[in-house]
Amino acid sequence: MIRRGLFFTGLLLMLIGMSLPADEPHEGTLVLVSVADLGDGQLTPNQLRRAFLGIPVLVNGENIRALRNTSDPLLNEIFLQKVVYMSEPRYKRQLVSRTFRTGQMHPPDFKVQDDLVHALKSVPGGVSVMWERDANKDPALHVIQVLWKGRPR
Amino acid sequence: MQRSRPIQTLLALLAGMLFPLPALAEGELLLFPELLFEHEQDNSLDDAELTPSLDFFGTARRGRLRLLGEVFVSDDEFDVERLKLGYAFSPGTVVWAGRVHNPLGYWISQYHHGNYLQASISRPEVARFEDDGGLFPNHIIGVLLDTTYTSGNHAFDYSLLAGTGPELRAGNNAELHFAGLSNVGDGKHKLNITGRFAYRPDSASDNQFGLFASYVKIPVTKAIYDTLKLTIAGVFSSWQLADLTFTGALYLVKDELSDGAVKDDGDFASGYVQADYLALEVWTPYARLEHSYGDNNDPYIELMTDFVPKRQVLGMRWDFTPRQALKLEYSRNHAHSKTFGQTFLSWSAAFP
Repeated sequence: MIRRGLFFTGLLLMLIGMSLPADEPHEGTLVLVSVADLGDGQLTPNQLRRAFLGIPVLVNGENIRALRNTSDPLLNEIFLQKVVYMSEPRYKRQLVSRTFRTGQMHPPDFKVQDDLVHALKSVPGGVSVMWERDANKDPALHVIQVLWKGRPR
Repeated sequence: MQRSRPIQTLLALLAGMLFPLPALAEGELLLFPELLFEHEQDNSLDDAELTPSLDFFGTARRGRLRLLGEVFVSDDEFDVERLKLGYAFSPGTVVWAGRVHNPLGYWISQYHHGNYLQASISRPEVARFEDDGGLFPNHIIGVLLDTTYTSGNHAFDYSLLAGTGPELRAGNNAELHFAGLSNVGDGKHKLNITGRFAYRPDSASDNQFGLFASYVKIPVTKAIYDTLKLTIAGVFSSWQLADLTFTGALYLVKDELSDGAVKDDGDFASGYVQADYLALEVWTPYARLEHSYGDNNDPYIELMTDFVPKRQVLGMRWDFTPRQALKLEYSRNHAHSKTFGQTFLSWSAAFP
C-alpha cells in the first residue's frame, strides 16, 4: 500500500515537473539610474521617451542626457517596449532622422555595462536603464524610478 | 562647384570639434548614398538616367557651440547644402548662422537631402529644390532661429529666418540661383524672410501641424522683368496613426513680376497629400496626390516651364536591411504642355 502511494506521488511530481518550462525566467526589475541626485524628481513617460530620442529634457534644473544600455538583449527588448514604445529598426531610424534634422546627438550606445557605469559617473545629468540587481551593486548609482517589474516572457 | 577657403575653415573646425572627444561623442557623421534609375515613358531605355549620389552629413558640438554641415555630391553636382554655426541659448533654442535650409513647409525641414529618410523616391513639386527647377527658395545664407517650447506633453516649434534670397535667371530654362557661400556678392540677391510654427501634441512624437509664411524679393535677369516678389503662406501636417502616416502641405502663393513700367501679377495654390503604410516592419506602400489651382496664366509659372502642377504617385519601399532600402515608384505627371509617366527605382542607405 505504502509502495503504491509512493509510486503515485512520484508519478504526480514527475508530471508536474514535466509541465513546467525548463528555463522559467526569474522576475526582474528594470530601473532608471543616475549618479546625479535629481531630488525627488521622476521622469514622466513622455520625458523618458524624449530623453532616449535625444530631445533635450530638463528635470529639477538638470539637463538629462540619456545613455543607452544594450549589454543585455532582454533588457534592451523591455526598454524598447516599455520606454520608447517602438521596434529597434524604427527607433534607430528616428534617431538618425532627428540628428539629421536638428543636429542633436542621439543617446550613445553601450554594449558593456561597466563602460556604461563609467560613463554615467562622468557625464553630468546622465541617466540609463539597468536591472535593479546590477544597480544595487554600485553605491554611486541612484535608482530614480522603477520602469518595469515582472517575469519576462 | 562651391569649394572655398571659408568652407575649408569650417570643415576644419568640424574636425577639430569631432576628434578631441571626451568620454562621449560630441559629434556625428552620417552618409546617405543613393543610386537612382529614372525613366520617362515613351523614351527609349537608352535615354534612362542612372545617377549615383552621396549626401554627407556631419554635426558637432562643444559647450554651447554647434556646427552642422551637409554636402551633396553627384556626377554633376557638388553643393554645400547646409553649413551653419550655432549657439545654444538653451537646450531648445539655437541661433544658427551660415547656409541653411529655408523652413518653408514640412518636407525640406524633415528630410533635407537625405532621400533614404523619406518613404518615397520623388519629392512633391512644391518641395522640389530650386537648383532642380523648384519654384521656391530653399538655400539661404543668413541667420536662423530654431526654438522649441515644451509645456507638459505639448511642444511648440518656432523657426525664423532672415537671409539672402536667390536670383532668377530666366530664359529657356528659368531657374532660381541661390547665393554661393564663397561668392555671396556675386549676382543679385535680396532679403528673404521666413517664419514657421508647428504644434506637436506629444512632444516625444513627430505628429504635428503648422503654418509658414515667407516673403522674398528676387532680382530677375534675362527677361523683360527685373524683379519678382513672392509671398508664400501655407499649412502642413504629418500624422502617424499606428503604422499609417499621412503627410500634406498646401502653399498659397502671390507673385508679382515687374520692371518698373510693366507689372504682371498672379496667385496660385499648390499642395500634396501622401499616405504611407508600414507593413511587417519592412514594406511601405505609398501614394501621393499633388494638385495646383490658379496656375494657368500665372506669370511666374509661365516662366518656370518645368513646373508640374498635377501628379499622381504610387510606390513601394522595401527596407531589406535596417539601414538600406529599395524603392520602386511610378508617377503620372500633368505638365502644361504634356502628360507623361515616370518610373523610378532607387537603392538608398544610411551609414553607419
